[in-house]
Amino acid sequence: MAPDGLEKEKLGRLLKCVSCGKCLVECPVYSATKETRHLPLPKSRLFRHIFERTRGKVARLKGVQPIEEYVFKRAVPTLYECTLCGSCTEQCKFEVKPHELWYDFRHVMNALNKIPPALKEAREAIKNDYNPYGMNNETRMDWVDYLGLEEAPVKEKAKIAYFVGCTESFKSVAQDMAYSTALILNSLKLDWTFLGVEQWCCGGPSLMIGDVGTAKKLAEHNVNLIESRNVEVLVVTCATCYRFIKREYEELIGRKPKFKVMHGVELVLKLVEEGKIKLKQEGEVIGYHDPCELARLGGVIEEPRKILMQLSTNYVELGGDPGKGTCCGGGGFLQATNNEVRLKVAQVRVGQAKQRGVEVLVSACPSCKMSLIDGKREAGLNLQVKDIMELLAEKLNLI
Amino acid sequence: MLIKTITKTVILKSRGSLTETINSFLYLLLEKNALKWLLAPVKDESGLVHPELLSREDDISRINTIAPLIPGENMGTTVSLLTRESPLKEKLGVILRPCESKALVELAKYRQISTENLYVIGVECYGTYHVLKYREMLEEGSNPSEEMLKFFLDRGGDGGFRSSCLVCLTPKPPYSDVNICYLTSWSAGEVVLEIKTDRGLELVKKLGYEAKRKATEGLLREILEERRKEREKFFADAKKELNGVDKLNEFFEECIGCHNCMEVCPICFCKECFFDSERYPYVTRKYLKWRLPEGTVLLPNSKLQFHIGRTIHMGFSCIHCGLCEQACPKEIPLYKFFGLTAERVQKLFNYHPGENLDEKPPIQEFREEEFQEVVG
Repeated sequence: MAPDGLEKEKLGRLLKCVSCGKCLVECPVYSATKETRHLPLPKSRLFRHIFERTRGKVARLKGVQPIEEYVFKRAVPTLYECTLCGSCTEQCKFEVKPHELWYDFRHVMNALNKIPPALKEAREAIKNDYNPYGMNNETRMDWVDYLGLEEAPVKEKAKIAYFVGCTESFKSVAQDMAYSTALILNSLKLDWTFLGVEQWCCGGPSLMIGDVGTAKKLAEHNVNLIESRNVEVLVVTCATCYRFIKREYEELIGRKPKFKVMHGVELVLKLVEEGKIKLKQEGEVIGYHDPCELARLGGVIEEPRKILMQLSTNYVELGGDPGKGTCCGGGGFLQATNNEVRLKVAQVRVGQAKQRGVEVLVSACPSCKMSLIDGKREAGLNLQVKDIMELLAEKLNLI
Repeated sequence: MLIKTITKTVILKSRGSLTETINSFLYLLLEKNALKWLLAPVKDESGLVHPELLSREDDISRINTIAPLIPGENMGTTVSLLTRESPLKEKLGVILRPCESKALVELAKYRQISTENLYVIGVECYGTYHVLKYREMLEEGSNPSEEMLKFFLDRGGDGGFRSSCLVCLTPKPPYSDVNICYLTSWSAGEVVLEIKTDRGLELVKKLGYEAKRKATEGLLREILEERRKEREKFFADAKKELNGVDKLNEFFEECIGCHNCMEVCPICFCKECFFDSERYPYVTRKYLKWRLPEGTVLLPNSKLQFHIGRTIHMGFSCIHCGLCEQACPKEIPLYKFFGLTAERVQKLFNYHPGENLDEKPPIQEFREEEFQEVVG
């Protein structure tokens, strides 16, 4: 029997690749390591090999063929040492959408139970504890006490709900983001609420692992929870949560959720434009790192720049077109699979910022923040890394 | 398998378009059960072609054998995927361009292809466009097949073929059972099937075709003469351009080390390339620190080592399909290098890759008398 996830209709794109190699040029992982296994095409070739033997030409001619162990052995370090940043898809001229194929490939590998041990752990953690860190989900809101957030509403009904991602909830370096966002929402006296300990992981990590079934379950739970509280606008500060809830939930649950999804920067910019938030320009050199899930894959590119230009007279781009920057290395579970590779990728990004004289390197995603901090530490570079929500809370004198 | 050359032909009268006329033959192959399967270039909705496996005659209309394009994979490689592990149990016909049929022959010599139950239906080829150019042509609304034919007939269409095609001297597959020829005959509304082997003859007899003796080469000979001169000039220029380490380093300066030229090369069939293996890379921490913003830096010699190493591995059997050049994301004119080195080594050994299954590659055979000036 052919493994789950190899439907021909879905994978027709795989056979459309003409090997022109354009997807290889901007791959951030390969740029940092120059190890050919990190390139996109070796992934698609292995995937095609599996496809041809189980559903494609070989299977049609000779019946379904077993997949050799060496294929899996080679697939793990190429498929999972990838940040799923989507730069290959951005470069592809033939509608192959390579990075979506990597999701499909991970789905197949999960169905065959060939995923790396670290990802197995995360998969089971999400399934059992509803967050990838294996923490008791009842402690999801504990950061509120640690950081001393005074007003932390968990209401039955509210217009706005703040979806605090698992990383902002459980990782101390990212908890400041949730804290800052809550301070901003409080200071504006908005009708808002946390979702509390009933909130589950957004499901993005499950899809990255290839566990589509769990992703569906999480999506359904979260949508029901959010809708039961009459929420009109869901605010998120994690780029992964943002894209998965906004772009993937509809397909996962089979209907359009009844609420609007906004990243923190979109909400803040809207309030700035309505005159409800006033920003003051200062002179620091600020550079903005686009989270892949938010910019390249999520389409939010101008909003953070508009905010940062109102905060600093010295805003600089890190090179390349806005929204098409190099990945920080923080995506696709690369940290769990091979942290050394992630650190190399992160160092490249931090190095680019340093080269342009950036003093404060700003991002809008907890994974990016962690990666950039680790990268600067590894490279021994002196610059500040902040999330845009933290920077805003500081500039608004809320911290 | 011994190939007996028979110069018999079958004339197919026009059935509308050129593709329809050729496809009427392919249709009969499946309908009359002469073959069970066909591996052929099939058109997709965007106008590109991809190799597909067909078994129902109803699907034949999707085949486009003349599309001047090799999309990403030499079909010799596709045949290897299908027959490498075990021979075919049912008859499969594969429709191949000259350089694809040559790749098949070389791969068979290295036991990467089993020719049992395999029928090669060759297609005459005057040249193919770079896949990016082909795509542009489609977007601009022009028809690449017509452009190619027009250029062949009166230099009217677009002659911007890939560089390896412009100097190719084998417009007809040297190894095949039947060749589909149309370049010289289609202006008179005919497609000519050249029968090359007994198996080929059997095949067309099953379809009820009558094979007659006929020679059809006139125009091609002139064109080949022209090409021969172009080929000499091309390699003479390449030799000048690539002479010496400095010039080679300059030539490969843009290379990002992606090894895509190796990945698409039909002769590079190794399961794991030495240059991708753990034995190859060496750590250059110091350089890495200095050049942090660009990431890891490839030193010029490392790029050169890969390309020279690769040509040493595959140069004997290079069948000059030029896919290495099409696959280079940095658009380095790689055929100049790989074609030149292969051409010279093949001349040294008087080896003709892809022409005959019985001609052994130089690395499979020792001849005592050769290179006396070196070993003597």
